[in-house]
Amino acid sequence: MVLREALTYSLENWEELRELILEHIYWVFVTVLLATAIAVPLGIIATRYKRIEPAILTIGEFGMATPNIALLFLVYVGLMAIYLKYGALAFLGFNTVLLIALVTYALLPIMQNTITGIEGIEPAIKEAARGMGMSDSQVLLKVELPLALYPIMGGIRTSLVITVGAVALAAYMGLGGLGEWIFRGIFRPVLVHATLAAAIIAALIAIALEQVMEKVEERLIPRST
Amino acid sequence: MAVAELTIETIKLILISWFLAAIAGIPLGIVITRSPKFFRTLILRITGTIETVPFIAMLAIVFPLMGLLEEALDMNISTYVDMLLVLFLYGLLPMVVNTFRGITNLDPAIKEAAIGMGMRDREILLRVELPLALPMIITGLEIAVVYIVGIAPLAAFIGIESLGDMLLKGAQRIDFEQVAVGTALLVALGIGLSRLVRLSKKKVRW
Repeated sequence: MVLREALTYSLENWEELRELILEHIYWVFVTVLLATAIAVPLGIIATRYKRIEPAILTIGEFGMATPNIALLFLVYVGLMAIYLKYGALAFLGFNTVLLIALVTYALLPIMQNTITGIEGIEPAIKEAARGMGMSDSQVLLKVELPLALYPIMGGIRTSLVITVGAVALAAYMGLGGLGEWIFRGIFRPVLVHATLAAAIIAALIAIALEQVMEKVEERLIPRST
Repeated sequence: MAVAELTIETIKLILISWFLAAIAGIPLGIVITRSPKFFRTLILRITGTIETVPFIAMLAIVFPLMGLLEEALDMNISTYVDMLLVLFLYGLLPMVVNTFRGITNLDPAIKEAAIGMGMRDREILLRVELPLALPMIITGLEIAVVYIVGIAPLAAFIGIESLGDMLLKGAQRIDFEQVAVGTALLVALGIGLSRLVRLSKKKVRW
């Protein structure tokens, strides 16, 4: 039974598996943390400067329409090609190149949701805040961001879930994490139980993250009643 | 394989799994509008959970389990079936959810009027609910095809010749052009097919 083999293999190689799980979770969090730090300001800038907003929205839409595997490979191969041809980017390590590819892919849902979240706020609320004498940055921090928190958190949740898969794919290019075991068995049928074990764990991580984020959202967002 | 052939193979994969997701998902969506609550919650939960599982993990779960099935049935199942199954599973949720919402979001007064006119449940479904839910169901088709196109490149990992090959080979050789062309074709497929569905929304009548 492949399931039992998967379990025995996991227990026999527990040390290695634990490393891979931790590595996987580490890359997911680093990616989403960076993606959030870039995507939220980018989204805010887009709502502030109307001239560049269409450009940012179009890039976002095309990015979302691109199959995520394709986007990941595109950014990775693009950076590597520049590196090989011009020797530029040499200061970046190999993992950094992969991280940039992962972050590019992870920031799109957060950016989209930040923009739609801020734009979706009733204009009257913003006017009222200004009428109360709030400066632009006060409106942003005290009114817009708190009100847009729900969609932004939703974007972060989507980003976390898809990044679990993206990190697994990045193992194809040598990042490490659970993808290492997944590809080990896909390309060598004798090790197919390693594939199954790692895939189940990756799936559970994604489901768990989704559940936890749902709970966090419920706690965090004050419901006006 | 030439780029054209790879594209055709990818389109085949997409169309077959899309069709299967529709003919399974729409009836399932209808059934749960009439089933006991626990069955409805179960189906919506299962399809929702499938959507959370990373595609590559789903492929890596289906792949060994199909191997197991192969042994049990003592027959050869091609990896093509594995891939179709994965694509089908992800296409299922939008079909089920949109059919279900399309029917349940209708104004209850409409259904009552139909009952008042003496229509039986079958008639209500075929002549009232489905025609009115049609735009939502077509939106489900649109979402499903976008998902499926996004996952289709995975086929290359299990040796099915398709556009995904251009990504994998391009990454191995650091050949940017190949990856860019493969990506452009995939994006064109996704946008093209979903536009086609959106256009049909205005044309199709029950």
